Amino acid sequence: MKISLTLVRTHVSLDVPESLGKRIRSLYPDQLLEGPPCAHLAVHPHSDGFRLSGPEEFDELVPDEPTALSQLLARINIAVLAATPLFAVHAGVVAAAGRAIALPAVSGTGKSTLVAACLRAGLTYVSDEALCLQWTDGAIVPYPRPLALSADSCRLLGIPAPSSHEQLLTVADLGAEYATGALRLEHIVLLDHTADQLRSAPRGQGAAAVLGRSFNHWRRPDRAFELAHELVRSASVWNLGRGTPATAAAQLVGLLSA
Amino acid sequence: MHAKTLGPPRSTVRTLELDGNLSLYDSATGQAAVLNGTASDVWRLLDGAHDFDTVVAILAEAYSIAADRIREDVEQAVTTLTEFLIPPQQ
Repeated sequence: MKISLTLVRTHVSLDVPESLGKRIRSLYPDQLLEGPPCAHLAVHPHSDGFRLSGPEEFDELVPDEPTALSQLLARINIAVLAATPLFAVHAGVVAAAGRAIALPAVSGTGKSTLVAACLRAGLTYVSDEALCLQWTDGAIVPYPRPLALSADSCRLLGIPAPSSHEQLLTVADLGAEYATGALRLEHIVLLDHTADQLRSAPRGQGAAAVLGRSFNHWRRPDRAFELAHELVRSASVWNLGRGTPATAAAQLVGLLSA
Repeated sequence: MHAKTLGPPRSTVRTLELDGNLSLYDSATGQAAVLNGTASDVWRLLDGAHDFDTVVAILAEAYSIAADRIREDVEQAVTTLTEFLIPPQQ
């Protein structure tokens, strides 16, 4: 089964077994944007499981379909963020009524868990992985990949946890919706384990986080430097002690309700 | 280091200001730095006309504190900022 995915203005083609293809189609929203092809990924049944192949001689044998799906989604993520013509920053992004919050952070710091908690608290979904912006004007382009939650994250959120593998969820699974329309970045929230509550932070910390978490500032470093400062000049910067995902999410909902 | 004048900045360094603090970007090296208040004040004095002790003395007077209390902070800032400066002449 052949599938085309267009994400953050780049295009991935997939050649996968039908069962995987149907799952992939259910995990991504309809994509309206067109972009140039950037990568081709394939999954084929193998006597020992499934064989994945892709760019740069990527070739991997995995034992079962859930693992194949998980690896395929990870490879799609790598491919689109490497090729996107947008400025991409490692961050979760949620929104309400066109107003967005970015949570710049590296992997393993609880971004996806907090984003999922925000969606359950009523915010709309932009991304659990990347804040993607047009280089010219900083306009946000959503990157709504499926949320992949660990068993621990599921337990923290009160979601049935898988016995193995990660739990792949769409926004509908969390009772939420995708953000639509123009988005304005109003808040940059930095996860800070030493903070006991949401408190204002220097804008410089926000600029450093945006630059430091960028996937591709090296493409246009001068413009990335400017854009990071333009973003924080028009946004508020905060430190957030996470607490439980639900209490942290409630504080973020409060930011967008103010 | 202390007897030599510090700076001036390399011609390829750009500065942007955020709430009174500076950010630096050197297009020649790709290095960027977001400075706190003290480091921003240090940077403004690294113009090739001041040596380390003079920078400490100026900031101590500006902050109304003893020079020994800010010497270490200034030294750390200068260490960070050196890569954005034209190296001193030998």
